[in-house]
Amino acid sequence: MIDRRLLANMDWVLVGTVLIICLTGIFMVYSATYTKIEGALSGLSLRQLYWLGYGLAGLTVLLFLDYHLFQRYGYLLFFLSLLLLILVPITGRIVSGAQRWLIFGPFRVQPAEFAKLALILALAKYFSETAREPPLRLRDLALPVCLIGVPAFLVAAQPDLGSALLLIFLGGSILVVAGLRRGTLLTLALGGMSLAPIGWFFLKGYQKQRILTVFYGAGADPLGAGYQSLQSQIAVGSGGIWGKGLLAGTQSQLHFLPEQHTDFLFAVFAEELGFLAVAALLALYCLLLVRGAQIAYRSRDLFGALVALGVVASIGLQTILNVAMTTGLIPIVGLPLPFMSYGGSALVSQLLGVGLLLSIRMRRFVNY
Amino acid sequence: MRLGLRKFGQPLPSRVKSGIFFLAVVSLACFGLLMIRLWSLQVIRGEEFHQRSENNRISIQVIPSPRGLILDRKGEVLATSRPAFHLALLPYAVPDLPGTLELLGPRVGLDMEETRARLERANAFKPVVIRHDIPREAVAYLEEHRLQFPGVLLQVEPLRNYPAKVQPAHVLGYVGEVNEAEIRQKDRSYRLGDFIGRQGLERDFEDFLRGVPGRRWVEVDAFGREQRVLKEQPYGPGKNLILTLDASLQEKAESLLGDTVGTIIAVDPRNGEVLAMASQPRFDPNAFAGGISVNAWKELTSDALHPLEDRATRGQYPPGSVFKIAVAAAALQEGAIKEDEELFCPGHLVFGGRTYRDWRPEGHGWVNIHQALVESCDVFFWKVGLRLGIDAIARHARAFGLGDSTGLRDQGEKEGIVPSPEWKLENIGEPWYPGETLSASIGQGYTVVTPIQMAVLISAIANEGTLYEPRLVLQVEEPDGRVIQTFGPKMRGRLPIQPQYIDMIRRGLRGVVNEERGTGSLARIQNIQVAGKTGTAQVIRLRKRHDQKEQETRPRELRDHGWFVAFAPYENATIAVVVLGEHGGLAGGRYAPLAREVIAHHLNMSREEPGSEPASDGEGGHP
Repeated sequence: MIDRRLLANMDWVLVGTVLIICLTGIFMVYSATYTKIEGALSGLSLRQLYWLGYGLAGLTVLLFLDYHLFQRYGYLLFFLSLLLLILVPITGRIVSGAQRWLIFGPFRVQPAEFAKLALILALAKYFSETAREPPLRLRDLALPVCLIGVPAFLVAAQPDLGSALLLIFLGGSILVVAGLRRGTLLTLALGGMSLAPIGWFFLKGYQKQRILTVFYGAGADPLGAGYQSLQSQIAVGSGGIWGKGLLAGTQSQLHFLPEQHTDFLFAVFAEELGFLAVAALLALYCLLLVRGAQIAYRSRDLFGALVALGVVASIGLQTILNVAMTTGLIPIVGLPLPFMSYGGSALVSQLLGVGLLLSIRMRRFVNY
Repeated sequence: MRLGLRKFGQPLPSRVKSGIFFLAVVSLACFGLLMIRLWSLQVIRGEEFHQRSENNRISIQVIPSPRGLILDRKGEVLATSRPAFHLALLPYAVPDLPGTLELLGPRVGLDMEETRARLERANAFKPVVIRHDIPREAVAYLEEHRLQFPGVLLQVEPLRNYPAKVQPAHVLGYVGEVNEAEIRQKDRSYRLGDFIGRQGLERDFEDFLRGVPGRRWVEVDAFGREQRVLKEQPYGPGKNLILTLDASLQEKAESLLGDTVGTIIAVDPRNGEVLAMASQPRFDPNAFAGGISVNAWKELTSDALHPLEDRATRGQYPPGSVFKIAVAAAALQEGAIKEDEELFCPGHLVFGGRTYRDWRPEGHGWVNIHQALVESCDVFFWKVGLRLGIDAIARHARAFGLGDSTGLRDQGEKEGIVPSPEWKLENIGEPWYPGETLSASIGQGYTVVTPIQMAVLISAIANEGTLYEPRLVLQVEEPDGRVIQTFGPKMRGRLPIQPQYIDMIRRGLRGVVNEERGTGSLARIQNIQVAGKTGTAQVIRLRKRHDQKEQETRPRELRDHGWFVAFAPYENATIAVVVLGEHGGLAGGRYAPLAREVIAHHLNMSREEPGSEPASDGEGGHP
């Protein structure tokens, strides 16, 4: 099935980096959800470990498959993901005021996470097959804008503002690389900016309220959204150079941090382990991005390059936005930290993305 | 051209490569920015944020310190603290809130509507007190059934408690919750919810009684839930007050007063120690301990008899014939009358074209100063007063401490009035009329005094000339009994009267009780020489006096006050007593039995062990 030439092109550095980050994440989830009463390995970190297993299994399966399979079924997968997104408001489960999950037997799946992958595949297919030679004109972008806009709208309506923004940025990155004229890029950017306030008005009222309560968690907090940003900055800053030690972060252990095992896991990490560990962690993410970019750069064909780029952009954007949000550089949008934050769907879809990256790299010299 | 699958080894177009390169560089630049931000937060401002995270997690709680005890001179407890149990709910921890309230409601007397409203407004993670100071049985029930009531808490707070059956309410005063204005103006060391002395000794000795609250540093989570105690600084309990009061004599005085509106004061004339000080009507200071209800407060403040007023130090009454003691002393000292000089009393005096009537219409006949005191002859003192003049009367009255607060209280004590021509001009704007000197000579007219001033006056006669400041506190002690401060006798001075004249007055007062025509014969005790003086203070001027039936038809506020002041034993007196009946419509002599009872009780108690049968029940007075 998998020949030695393929294995020879396996990127062990990338795999190792991802595994280290994932395991660090499970440790941090453990710390963030640790309670004196339950002690030991609490439910969530154990579940995250299972999800890591499922994700690695999926990743391995992808190694055996030629990624061109996804080129063929790119649109189909995209429509499947749209179907799941549409199912969410119909049968989905409401958690913390947002309807994001679908229940499949014992699994709770967040279709938005898989929509990211599906969008990457669909856009890559479009630009590598359908689109004319760049530079592209505005009217060539009608379909890609729909490909981005429809899932982004569905996700925003859940409401999951963070994921919607990510879909837009992600699609934008692929458009940039697929090649746009400067004028087109400018028009798109201006159009996007002029739509933003309309979107905000659209979100006003109960939805805005719901968006805010998503970040508050169960105990709706009266002190406002600024409170979380402040508490997060206090957590990060109070970690200092050396950190307060594992399980010793007062901000996280005493629940001053909101959503500490998901969106604010980085703050737990920074508080308990300090600046040096933070620098090391960010270095790992950089390594991951560089290796990923390399794969895209050396890819055999445009589809592979765009898929690899999409996966890397998705990971990089989420990391940057999450850390920026945690450190108070940007307003709080709910985005988890890739590979680390608690969340099965996200972890599995990100590992599948890594699987695609590896698959693309392994097959860069293969002839069919 | 359409882009199909690229062939093996065919390189990507360079624009795609440069796009990838561009994005990679932008990403790395973003990471650089993040590192700068993290450096700034964690390294440069790390200390600051560390401090803020500490402030987040540590909450400082105040441990209330119980107030000091107030004990009588023999160690009997007059004021202490008791644990009050407040019923509180921790809403998030109560699984079945309506059911729990249903169960608790009837047992502790909950106002369901109000409780629900309060719980709706509350933070679910902070205890909400739903009922203050629940009864003992409810506490026992909750302790027993603790497991049935998760999230139900009992918060303990020391509350003031006055255990005696009959409290010397006006002496002790009461405590109340401190309000914001008081914290701002007086003392920032108080916190809302703290209790502060509001009246009486509770107020005057607040700084001793209060003690230092303790502090507890507690680690709390974001919801305010306590995690663990980090540090504790124990409270410093309040200091104990040892009073000059004799609780048993106080109780006697209170019960003697009964429903009589007025006051009884007993002082040790040798040093000014107040042995008993009862004022009627009184209030229950326990009602204030946990915060008084609006209704109870309204009832107290709107009562026509003003139960909150301390009549002993704040009531001002004309002294009536008791004032003759001062006039007699002045007259002897100033030479206005000779020791054995007799004046004739026909039962009235015509002065300035008006007829002034003696209380005894048939007159006292020829009387000297001794006889005049014994029989309380008005005409004699009118004549003497005219010889003295108002200025000399006023001067001597002041020498007895009248017209000035006695120093018993730090604040709120009334000063009374010693009228003089200057006083009248200043306060009423009219010149002094000679006829008013007649009124002043027998303690009527503008002259008003407080009962505690009368106690100082009679004490000075009892101890042959020394004015002592009356005192309520003997000493302040630490809870372990170590004495912090002792309050010794405080002399205000000596009467400017020759000893032989004081002696004459003393003999006169002995005669009041013990001689046949004495007005205070009801104070007579077998084997003990009691000396005293009656006084009947008119509230309105009447042509005819001494008509009991007529008094009863008047409105209360127009009825006479009755005074009786006394001391005993005659030689080396150990007790001086003042009895005042406010608007009782009775002559002063009718209050002599009350003084007699107080004296008998005190002398028996001090002679014998407490609890033994009294040697004399005090009978022996003549009607």
